[in-house]
Amino acid sequence: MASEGSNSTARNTASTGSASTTKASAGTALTLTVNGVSRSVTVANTSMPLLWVLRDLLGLTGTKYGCGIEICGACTVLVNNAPQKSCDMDVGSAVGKSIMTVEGLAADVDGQKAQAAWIANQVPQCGYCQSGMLMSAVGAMKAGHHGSSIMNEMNNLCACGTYQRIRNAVSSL
Amino acid sequence: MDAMSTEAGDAGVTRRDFLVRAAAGGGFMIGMQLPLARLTGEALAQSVPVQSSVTAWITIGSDDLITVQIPGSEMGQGIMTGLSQIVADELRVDWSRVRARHAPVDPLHGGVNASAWGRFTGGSLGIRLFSPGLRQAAANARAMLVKAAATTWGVTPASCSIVISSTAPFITSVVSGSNRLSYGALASAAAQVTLGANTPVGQYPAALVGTAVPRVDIPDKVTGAAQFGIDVMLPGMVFAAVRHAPVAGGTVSAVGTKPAAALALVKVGPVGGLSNGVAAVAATTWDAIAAVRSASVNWTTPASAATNDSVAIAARAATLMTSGTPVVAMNNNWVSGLPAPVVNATYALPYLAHATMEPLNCTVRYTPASGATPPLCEVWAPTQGPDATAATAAALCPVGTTVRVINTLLGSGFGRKYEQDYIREAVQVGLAMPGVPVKLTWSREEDFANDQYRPMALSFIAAAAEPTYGRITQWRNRIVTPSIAVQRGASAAAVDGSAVDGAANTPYRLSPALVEQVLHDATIPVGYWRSVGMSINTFAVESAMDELALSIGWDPIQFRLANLADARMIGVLNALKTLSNWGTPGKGRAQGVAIAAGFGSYMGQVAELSVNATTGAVSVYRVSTVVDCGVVINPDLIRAQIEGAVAQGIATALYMQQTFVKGVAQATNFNRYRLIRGREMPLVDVQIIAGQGNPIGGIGEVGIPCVAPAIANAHARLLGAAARKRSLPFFPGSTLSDG
Repeated sequence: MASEGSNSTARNTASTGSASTTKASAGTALTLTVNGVSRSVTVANTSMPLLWVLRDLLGLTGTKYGCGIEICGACTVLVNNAPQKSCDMDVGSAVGKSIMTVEGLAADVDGQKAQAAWIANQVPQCGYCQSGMLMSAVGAMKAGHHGSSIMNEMNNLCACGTYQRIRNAVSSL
Repeated sequence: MDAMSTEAGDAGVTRRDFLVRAAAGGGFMIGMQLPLARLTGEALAQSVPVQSSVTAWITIGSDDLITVQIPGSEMGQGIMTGLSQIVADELRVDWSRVRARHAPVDPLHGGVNASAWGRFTGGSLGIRLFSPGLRQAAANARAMLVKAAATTWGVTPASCSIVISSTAPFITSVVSGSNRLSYGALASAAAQVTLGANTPVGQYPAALVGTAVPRVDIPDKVTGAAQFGIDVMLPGMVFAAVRHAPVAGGTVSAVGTKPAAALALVKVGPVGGLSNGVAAVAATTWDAIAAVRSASVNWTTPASAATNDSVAIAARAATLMTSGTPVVAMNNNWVSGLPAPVVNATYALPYLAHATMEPLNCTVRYTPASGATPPLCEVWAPTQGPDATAATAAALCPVGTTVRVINTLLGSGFGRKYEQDYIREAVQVGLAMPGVPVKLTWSREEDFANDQYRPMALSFIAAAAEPTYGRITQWRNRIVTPSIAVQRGASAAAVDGSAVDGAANTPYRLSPALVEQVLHDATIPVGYWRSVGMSINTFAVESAMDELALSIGWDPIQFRLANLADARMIGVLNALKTLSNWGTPGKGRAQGVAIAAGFGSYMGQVAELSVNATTGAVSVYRVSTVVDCGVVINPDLIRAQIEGAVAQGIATALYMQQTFVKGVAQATNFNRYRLIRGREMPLVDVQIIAGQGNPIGGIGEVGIPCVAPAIANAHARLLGAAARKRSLPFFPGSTLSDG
């Protein structure tokens, strides 16, 4: 792609342990299940929003910071298959749950369908909101919505205004 | 250079003022300093396959993938795709083999090597500025590949031909008799070829230009792989957040001790002036935001706080409208003693924040000098002005510092990411953290509260028309508005071309006519917001046009046609009448029209809406658009820009505004700065009038100006003239809640 800079995930380690919370002197060690993989991470405070754990500690930068107040939806992930704005979810409450981010869509059958629809309809412009858009759409699919009813479940904001193409894309899902 | 010559007759003053300032010493220059062949010949030793730079702008891998180095900043408008189409046609390769990336930010790819007006992206100029040089580079690269093949085979270039293909073993190749070599096989030899002169462009018919090829940037934007500035991650990176003076123009008076959670607390602000903010550095962005909010800072409140208040600004505008000193922006046979005008209307527009989805951010790694190695300042930035970014960093670093800018993808820009404030702050923090990469992010609250806003404006129009031929018989427009140019050092005695864009150069035959600008002296910082002055002035002009049509009982489209001269504008409006099913809105709905000519393009839109009788809420069902933007590079990119502009334009009409109480911004997040949501998106149908040999026009901005007046005109037709909305937004207190 066009941009540069390496995606370092130097400060996270993968493990296969079960979900757990361990208090350590430098912070709290947590194990999260993200995109089907157990990830160990140490946070200074378990009230840290999941968004920043994903981005700054796990290097999963596909999940975006947009508003920090649950309005814009750019940070939407799936928690146990339900859309969740990660800017307003304490990382501590994500322990033991299944978290899916945009990086996990390619391994999910609904995610694959949504990604294909987004490409077929040439949805993204700048693309910044689209991770959250896709996660909201996939969450709606997993809740049993199809076609245009998916759009009714999506409150995400897009400043570029790609809504018409999103509407067309979800109509095929 | 058709694109350049059109500027003089159009919004040329505006664009040129902007560009000359943007040129950062590069100066104004017609013509293109060509990135002539035999430039570096460097093999970019990235990985297998071998990459060869065949001219500065085109890299060809031994795997036959073509990478176009794009000088324009991709912020969603599709510039990577459009420019690559032009290159691919000239180079004669299949679209499936083409990749694009932002060009390196260096002298070879900057200044006049990038375009006649330097390397920046704005003013809807991207394709127009960059395509001549890239196209020439592609023609030269093609000739170099042919010459390399001919030399290899000991034949003349004239005996060689090119066969285009997408798949092995017939990938695009140079062929002579039984000899055949693919571009990839020839690339390293071609990079060493010297051409005596530029190769003529346009020798082959377009295969890709004019078609809706898929965008090159979309696949990575559905997987999370696309890297925006805010996504830059480096080994050992720390994170910073900034907090600015709460009052516009305020400065830091004293800073307390560093919060325990912070690694550093750094004063930031204008070079050579007083600091206007502090930044905290911490282990994560979240920690940095919390730390900077907890820091103890004493701020100096400027004397302007009392007057930088929305109530005071509006009152001052009303006073200046009658007693201010006007500067004449346009005078066409104006005379005194005309009959009393029948339309006397005042239109008001608010300050607007840019609200880019990606908040402002920038990453810096400053490496001090070591032995004979000079200091190095690396800057990763989502910027519309990479050359300006490099200059910003150089000005802050020790003399002799090597500055290296990496232009990331932009999570929208809308003009905001041309500014340098966030770059400057990141470099200042980076200098305070030598050897450590630091990513500075503005919280959304800082982003909204410290914007350089689209200026507020008060526009008074007094006009009259006669009913027989529907002609406008007099037109006077006075605009009170702060000036971006004056705030940045231009003379207040001169016309600010961008402040009167769309007013001093309407598409109509206006005589006698007088258009004046009165400078508003509010010091809230103002800046370039998608379409700049045109969206302000088109709201006033196109609203007044409907009021004039009503005053003589004419249909709004027929009235406009009666006052137009330009055949392209007339063509757009006639097509729009058909496309929109003008005159036959759905039950309980009304239609409104608006037109504009600017950025080298012609635009007309019809909005169809209804109004909830109880709540007054507006539902926009359809926005029909006809655009003539000359030569079409990619019709789907044009449609996307218009669809998006409609969404943004609806929000400007109904919801969006920034207000101030004693210098303090009141909308600091999306809950109080409302965009439309998906369910509010109307059907946008777009008809593109084919080029007819006209030069390439701009498309990024021209979709914005007509939306708000078309909605206001439809609203007034539905509810009657007494209900006309002359002040934007329609619903100033509107909020969004979560859910």
